[in-house]
Amino acid sequence: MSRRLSEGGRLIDREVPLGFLWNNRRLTGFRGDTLASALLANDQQLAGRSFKYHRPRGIVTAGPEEPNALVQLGHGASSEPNLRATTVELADGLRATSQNHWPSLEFDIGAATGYLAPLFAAGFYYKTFMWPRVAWKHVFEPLIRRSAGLGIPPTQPDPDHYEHYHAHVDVLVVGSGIAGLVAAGAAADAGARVLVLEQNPEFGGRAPVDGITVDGLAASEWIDDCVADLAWRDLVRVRNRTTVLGVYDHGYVFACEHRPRPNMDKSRADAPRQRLWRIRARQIVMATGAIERPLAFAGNDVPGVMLASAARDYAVNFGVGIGDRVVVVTNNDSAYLTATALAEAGIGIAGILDIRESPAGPALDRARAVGLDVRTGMSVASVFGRRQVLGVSATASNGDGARTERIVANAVVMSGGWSPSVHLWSHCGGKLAWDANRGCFLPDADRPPAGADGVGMVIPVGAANGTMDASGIPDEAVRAGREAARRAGHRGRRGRQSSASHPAQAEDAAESQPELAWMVPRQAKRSLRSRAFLDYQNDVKVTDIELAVREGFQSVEHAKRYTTLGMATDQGKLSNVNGIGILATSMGQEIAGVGTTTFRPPYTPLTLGAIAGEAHGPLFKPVRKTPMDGWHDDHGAHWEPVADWRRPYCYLRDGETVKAAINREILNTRRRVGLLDASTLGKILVSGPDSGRFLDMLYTGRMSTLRQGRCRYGLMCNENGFLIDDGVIARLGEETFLCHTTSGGSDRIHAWMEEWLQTEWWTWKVWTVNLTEQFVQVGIVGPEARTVMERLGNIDVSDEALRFMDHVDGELAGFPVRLFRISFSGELSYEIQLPAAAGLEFWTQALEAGADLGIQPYGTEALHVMRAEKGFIMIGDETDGTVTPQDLGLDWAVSRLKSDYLGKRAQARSYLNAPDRWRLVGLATEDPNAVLPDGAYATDGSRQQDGGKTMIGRVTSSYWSPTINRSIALGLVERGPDRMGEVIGFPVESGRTIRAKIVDPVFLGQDAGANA
Amino acid sequence: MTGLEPEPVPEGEVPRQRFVPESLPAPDGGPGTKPNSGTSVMRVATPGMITLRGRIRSEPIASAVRKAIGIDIPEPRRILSVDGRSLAWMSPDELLILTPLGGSGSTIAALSSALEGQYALLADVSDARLCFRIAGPSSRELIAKGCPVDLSPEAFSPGDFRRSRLGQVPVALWMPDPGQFMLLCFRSVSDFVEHWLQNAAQGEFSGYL
Repeated sequence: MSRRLSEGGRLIDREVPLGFLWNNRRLTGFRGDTLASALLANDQQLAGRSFKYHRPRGIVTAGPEEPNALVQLGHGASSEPNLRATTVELADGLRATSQNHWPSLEFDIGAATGYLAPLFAAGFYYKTFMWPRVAWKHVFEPLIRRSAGLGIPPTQPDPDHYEHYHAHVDVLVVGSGIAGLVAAGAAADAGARVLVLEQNPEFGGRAPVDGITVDGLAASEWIDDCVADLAWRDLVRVRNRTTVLGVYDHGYVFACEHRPRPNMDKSRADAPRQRLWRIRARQIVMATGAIERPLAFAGNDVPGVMLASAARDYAVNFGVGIGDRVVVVTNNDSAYLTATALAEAGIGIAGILDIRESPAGPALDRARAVGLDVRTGMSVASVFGRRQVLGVSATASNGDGARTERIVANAVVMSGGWSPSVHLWSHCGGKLAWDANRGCFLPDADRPPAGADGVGMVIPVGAANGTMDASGIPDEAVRAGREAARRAGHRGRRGRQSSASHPAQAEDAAESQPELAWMVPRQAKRSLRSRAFLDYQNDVKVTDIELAVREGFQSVEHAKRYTTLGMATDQGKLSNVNGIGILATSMGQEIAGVGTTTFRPPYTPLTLGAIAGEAHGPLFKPVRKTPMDGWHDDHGAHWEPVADWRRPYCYLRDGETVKAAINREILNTRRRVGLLDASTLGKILVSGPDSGRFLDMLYTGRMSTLRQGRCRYGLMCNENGFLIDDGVIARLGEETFLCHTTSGGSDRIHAWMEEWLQTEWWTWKVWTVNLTEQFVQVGIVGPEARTVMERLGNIDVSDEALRFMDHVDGELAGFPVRLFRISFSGELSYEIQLPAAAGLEFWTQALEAGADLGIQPYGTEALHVMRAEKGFIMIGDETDGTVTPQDLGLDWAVSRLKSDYLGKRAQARSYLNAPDRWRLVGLATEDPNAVLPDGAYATDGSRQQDGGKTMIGRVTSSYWSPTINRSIALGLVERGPDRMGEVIGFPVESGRTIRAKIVDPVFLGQDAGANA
Repeated sequence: MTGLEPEPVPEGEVPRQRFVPESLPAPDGGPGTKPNSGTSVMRVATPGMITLRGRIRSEPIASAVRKAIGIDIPEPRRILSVDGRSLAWMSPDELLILTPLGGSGSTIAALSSALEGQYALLADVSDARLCFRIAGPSSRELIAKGCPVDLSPEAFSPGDFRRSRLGQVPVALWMPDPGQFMLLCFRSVSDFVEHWLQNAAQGEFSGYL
């Protein structure tokens, strides 16, 4: 029976009630509540069902480590699954539903699996793969898929918005407990820029709840003063509701800030729902505190069993009592704080079971002084109840649990000691060491995560560093803050020494020395061990770890994966250490020898929205546009992405199909004249005394012999001999070339050039500039192209003055241009390059100049078809990173005389010269109307060893050619050029095979379209 | 600076408002996370631009540039401006020269003759990039939503110049005066950058800087 107490609750405002819906039931809480505290205030201890056995589970913590109370928040588009009720701030109108059950939380059919628990032992999932083979596909996989998964992802677009924020700081302090605040003040005093991040809405960590006093002040008062002091310092920034999720190389840190919403179902137009902080910190002070561990005893997962610290939080922070008669079971002093706090709040304590034989100390003295029943050397043997605690059986902590005594109770609080929150230390390589005295893994100061300079970049302080006693914290934190500032480059500069953030002393109400027991009672028989849970969310029990050990999964990493211990959404924040303890015990080893698994980011789950930030909708990905983009869009452009550019695939006229538009554009260009926006082509200026030599190395052909005013087609290969790019190179001057690249290759090829110049040939005198964005390029193509050119300006474009592969500078339509006579279609073709700002004006003038000649723009598909008709290859179609120039019959573009070029050595390898390589051919389908699918494979009817069909070739380009009125295709076929005239089969969908004859790749002969 | 015709902006930087966590009483009644308060984004006329590639720290190149333009070679990650022209440090072997609108031709001519016989490359890139101005009290915060440069006033002020990224695209930025940023992006992504900046200008700012 959990309930709201009549008094207390330092974080809630009883004047402001908030209505909310829990599984469609209307409940009320107060401002300042978490969803978890509000549920407990309404006697709703049952909060969810476990993942595997669907056991009823209650709220077990009061923080982000919560494994059980995962809820679905909101509904419709703004719904969010798998939120921890312990960290959800209550808001008016909040809707939450529990997860992982059917048909209801109270009655869940899936719980039947609990009775079959022996069948679902550790490694069950993996064993389903093994035998019988057919069962996986038809029995286990459907079953597992249906029962797996927690919340339900929303199906509509998220109406909220998210953003990123880049922050730079000298010292990042994670956590605003006493340790973090003092360290922040000390670092700022030393002159460092400091950012303090607190995951909770309120500052101070555990100190206000745990009865700590600082310089004679109650912790909460001191914290208010200290945060106020820090927040108004110029060097310090303080943020709440911001969880640090991960620490990466060189002090790169991710943190997620939650912006509260006034109403859960309303998205905020004015503010992001979450802000992902991308922080570059020189130093990180890890003041992340510690997380209490459960104890492993039978029935430790019954709703109503809770961490002792959480019960204290609910009473002190929220004025919520977790029961009327509470049993306390502990192996250390801190649970006594809970016992006295609950007793002071008027909650009955049914007894304190301390597993230690003879504990002593002020905490015990205070408990005894208020009349609490402390029973030493005792523990819980088992919890009665299924959906709520009805009582416990108590037994000797060193025994086997046989002799018991029944204690009536409706809640159990437990403390198995504390685990420092060392996640951030571990994320980037910091090592941990087991401290047997304090019973926890601690940051190993000798093996910190190192920054770019090899110096440790994370400094642990306070409970995160194993300092459980508050009295030790102020001095340690001052040292940590100063050291962080010093490492960040602020050496010895004395700022102000604020007394507010620089306490002389702190006093703790309890000292904590646990006596470790990984299972209580220590000699528990199997019937108890098999009901003692380690990982609540993944239903891993003590006996599961023991089974894993017996089956040979003894490495901590193996045992984790075999049992799924710590692999749930809580990443084992409660379970890891206990599981490792059981593992070590089962193998008769020390924990130090077993070691620990690695913590990985994120510390708590984050939303995809936060990761995406603003990058959705129109900002999902940059779209590169040419200066004529708007014209294309106004004239029916049917877009296609080409690398990051968008280019018109074709221009649709009213009522026209895509196919009709393509055919129209091709025929118009072949018969009259077409206009192409080729601005996306890469244009790289290469200049310097060694530029010819440089290009001779980059291209397979020889470029140094190119004469000024001439162009040459070039192929570029990587060191493995495979084609990576092609394009036309123009020699502009004695030492200057302009290299065209493919549209997708401009940045990549420029980087490729710079890489060679900077890392291999740094003595060569060559400079490069990527001019792709400086110029537009317009193709005027077709039999009437010359007439259009003559109307646009006074450049002599006759065959005599401007031969095929010539270029010349001049003026057209009033703009300075560079004119190339090059062709990718076989037609008479001019490409005009001019400054980008003039691009649109030139484009429209060219259209006007050719209007009476029937000029029409054409898109990329017409371009592709026309080049395929001529058998010209396309990088990315005929090449896929494993194709050489020789494979494509481009030997003519490969110099045999050059002593070297990139790829030459590789092309001499036997494999690249093998006679059975797949080589370029044309493919003429027997049925001229059948267009082969792109990528279709040819088979020869034989079978491989594995039963698969033997493939002998594939289609690389395939189109309908309106010019020759039949389908055309290019393909790579084994020994292709040696098999001219042979017919091969391409099996396509539904058992059909398209038969095609191997032909020359040039479909449009020398006589047709030969005006180039 | 350099023909960008900035509109008048307030002298100096507008006092920054501080983020105050909501659970704190604000000593002077200050705001929490601050709303957008008059921070503006607009396209501005693009200056003439020239890329110079060369060993820019070497004496022959530096003195040739000084002779032609009258400006010293800027330190790394800095921009120097004199009489409407600027030199921006792009890399150890690359300068970006900003001239008044349409003034790149004469500057190239002057540079070409000064650099005669030197191993260097000049290219007119006036059309390759477009320019945005971000002005107002939250301009640092706005850019920091997508740019990994330290934009705090201690780390970035007039005279600084950075090539970096905004959202997913490369940009270069500098502050012609304390109240505003100039931002250059490649021409093909200017629609994306404008959309990105307008989107970032809406709603609240983090209040960090």
